[in-house]
Amino acid sequence: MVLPIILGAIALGAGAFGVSKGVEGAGAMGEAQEILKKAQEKYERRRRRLESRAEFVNNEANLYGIHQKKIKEDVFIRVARLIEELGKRAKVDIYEILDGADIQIPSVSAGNPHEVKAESVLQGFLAAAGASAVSSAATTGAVTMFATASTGAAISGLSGAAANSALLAALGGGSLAAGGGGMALGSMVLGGITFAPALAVGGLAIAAEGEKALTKATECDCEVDVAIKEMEARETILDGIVMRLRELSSLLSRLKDQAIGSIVGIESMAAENRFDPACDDHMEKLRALLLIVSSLAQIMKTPIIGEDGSINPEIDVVIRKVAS
Amino acid sequence: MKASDFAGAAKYVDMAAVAQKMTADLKEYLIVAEQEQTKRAQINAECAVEIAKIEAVRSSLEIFLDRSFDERRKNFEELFLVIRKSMDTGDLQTLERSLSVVVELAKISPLAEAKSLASLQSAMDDPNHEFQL
Repeated sequence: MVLPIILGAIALGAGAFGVSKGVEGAGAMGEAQEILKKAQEKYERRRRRLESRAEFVNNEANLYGIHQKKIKEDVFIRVARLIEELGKRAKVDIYEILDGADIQIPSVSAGNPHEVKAESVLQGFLAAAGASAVSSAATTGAVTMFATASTGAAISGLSGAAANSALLAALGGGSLAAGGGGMALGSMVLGGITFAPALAVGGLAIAAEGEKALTKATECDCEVDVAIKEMEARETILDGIVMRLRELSSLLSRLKDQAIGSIVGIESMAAENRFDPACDDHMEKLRALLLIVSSLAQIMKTPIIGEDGSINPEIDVVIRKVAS
Repeated sequence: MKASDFAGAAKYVDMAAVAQKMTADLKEYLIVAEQEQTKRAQINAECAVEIAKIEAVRSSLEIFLDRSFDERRKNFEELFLVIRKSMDTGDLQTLERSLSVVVELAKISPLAEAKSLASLQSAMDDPNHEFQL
């Protein structure tokens, strides 16, 4: 009865080790999946925030365009009419009015957790299948080499069905008649011995794949963290575009206020036929108005970003314009 | 020794092969585990450096834009005070000059300046960059 106990203990130890490594590997894969899932979630969350910021910039650019259009109507067209009322010709230029801003946000892949798991488990099973085939042949070989059949004949000297029966009985601690566990126990021991190295090898393979999966997940997580930081930098640039739009908008408003004050004054003089081109004071008032209108026109044409329209190679902003 | 004993001995070598395979697999696993842990530590360290670099640029850009727009706002405030005064007094020369300064200042975009700042920063970070003087 000693042989099945020894073989069983070895099998149990190897099996337990394999199971513990397999559990460790599965745990690492689970952890990797969790890291990837969280990375994807935080990336999507940040991306949505940047997209909504980009939409906000688009709206601000659109509002700036509406402001430009209003200035054209309230100042330029009105001044042209006023000049015509004074008996001169005037023409309002076609201006490029802002229509919005298209902002491209590049994507970053945060990996696919399902791919990682499927690949690792498959590799674990393949390794386990190989170990199982080797161990089955080895175990029966060892028993055949050392054990004797219940008849007292060496198993290595037997062949065919007699050899198989004697082998299983030997693994069971001897035949039932001799007080052993017989072929039934032998079958169980053989099953355990066959399976245990497979578990050990499979467990190690899964544990190794778990480590690799953790590395892959860490890599993806880091890529996402860098991408998030880049998105924060892009958001700072977008905030800068908003500040610029508001600055130009404020300048247009202030100049418009000055212009309207002048227009109202000259319009009332023109309406009462009091405007006299020979009067220095009247002409100074008209010249002041035209200086303001000229400044307004120049600011209307001022690029939002820079002369070449780009801010930074990392961000692709296209300021949409329409003729008005 | 009979021929069947040789066969048994050959199968005994398979038992050694099992032990050998398990030992080899264990060794391989230990090597993989150590290598992967080293890779993860390296990835985390490189990531921290990259993030710190981007944050440094982002933060200097934010400070630059805030200060720049703030300073410009104050300058425009002062210029418009002069514009209003020159309109009231009819001082066309001052009005023309002030308007010209407003337009010139408006044309200089802090975003374009930020681009130059970012280019300078990347040149400073690039060990192979050569400044043409």
